Amino acid sequence: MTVTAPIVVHGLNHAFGKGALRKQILFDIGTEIPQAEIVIVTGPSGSGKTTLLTLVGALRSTQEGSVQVLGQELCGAKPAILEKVRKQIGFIFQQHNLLNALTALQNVELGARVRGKFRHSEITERARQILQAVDLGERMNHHPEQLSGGQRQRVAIARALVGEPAMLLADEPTASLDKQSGREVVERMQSLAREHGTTILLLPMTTAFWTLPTASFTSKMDVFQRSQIQ
Amino acid sequence: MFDLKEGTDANLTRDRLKKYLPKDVLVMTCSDFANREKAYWNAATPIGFIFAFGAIMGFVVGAIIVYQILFADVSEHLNEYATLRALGYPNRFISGIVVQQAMILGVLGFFPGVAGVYWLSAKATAATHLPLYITEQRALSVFLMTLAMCAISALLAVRKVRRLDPADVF
Ligand SMILES: Nc1ncnc2c1ncn2[C@@H]1O[C@H](COP(=O)(O)OP(=O)(O)O)[C@@H](O)[C@H]1O
Ligand SMILES: [Mg+2]
Repeated sequence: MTVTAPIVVHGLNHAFGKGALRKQILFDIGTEIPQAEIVIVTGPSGSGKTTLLTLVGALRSTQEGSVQVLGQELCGAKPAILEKVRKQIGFIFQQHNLLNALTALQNVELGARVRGKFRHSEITERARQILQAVDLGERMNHHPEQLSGGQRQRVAIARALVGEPAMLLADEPTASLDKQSGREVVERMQSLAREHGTTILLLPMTTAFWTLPTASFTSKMDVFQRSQIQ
Repeated sequence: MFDLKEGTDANLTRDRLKKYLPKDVLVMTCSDFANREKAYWNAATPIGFIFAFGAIMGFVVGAIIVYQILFADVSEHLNEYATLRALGYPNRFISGIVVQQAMILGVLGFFPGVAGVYWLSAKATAATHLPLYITEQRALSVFLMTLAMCAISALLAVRKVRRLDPADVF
């Protein structure tokens, strides 16, 4: 098997709604993202950035076109394939999506456990370390409702990073972070890309990001590059 | 009514007696008679049918109630189940969580249920003179059926999670 890029997209169309309410969002998107790249996806609000990211992350069924992620075709893929791909991806959601019944530490452990490559004691140790790294060492045993918005977002980031995923998809990850922690999160992503060859797809939108030198990102991809606007 | 000596085979004696007697005379051992009576009460009167019907209705109504409870719970936590799926946990894992909840419901419901049954059956026996026995085996099979009912309801309730794309929930 030849080594293919971790993300290969061809002729991807996506629409929401049915019949008269049908509204196409993505038009013939095509791109190829090599390993260990940090790609920033741009486009105005409502242009379909989140939609594209969830398609690549196997969180949404592909309607038309081809989306190959980590060597698997996602269009028409069976649940088992989708689960396998999701396991290898760290996804930072637009909302933090933490489990309310679990503590910060347990939430982060979930991200490590699903990878299936760490021993039990190692899972907890890794989760502790990464929570300390995002400055939440004191709040590990707090439940999400006891944390501020920014703290929750950092827990969610820790959950995505803890398993050292093959790919990181981040939907405006630093939206609720201050400049300093935003910068730290981006630096952590960069070191992941360097040391583990993690491919990263980012949606920016926050001031914390724009203050970083553009050189932080290997390349840029515009959702509109090859598409007409509705 | 014959009392047989110790160590005599009742079935053999019955068969031998039958040979000497005309066809319209029934010769039965004690257990033959008991079976015949049970068959009569079950088949020729509606009591057996009503019992079976009651049991089936109980099963169905129980399943519907458990389903309703679990469905409401799953709907309330849809976001969290979708998050687990988004992280890569398989559908089996999600179903497992809901089935576990159903089992807890089943166990919690069963023991008060048994106490109620003891109380009711004492009343019912006194009122109807029907012999009602709660054997361990019967209790066990009802317990297993309760768990099965809860598991079926759980698997039905979790379909909603499995059907949706994780991204549709967020
Ligand atoms: N589940 C959905 N159902 C219907 N329309 C949706 C859904 N999700 C997104 N949209 C629409 O698709 C468009 C693109 O959304 P999105 O991908 O979130 O854009 P972005 O992240 O670039 O702001 C928006 O107009 C939005 O209203
Ligand atoms: Mg968005």
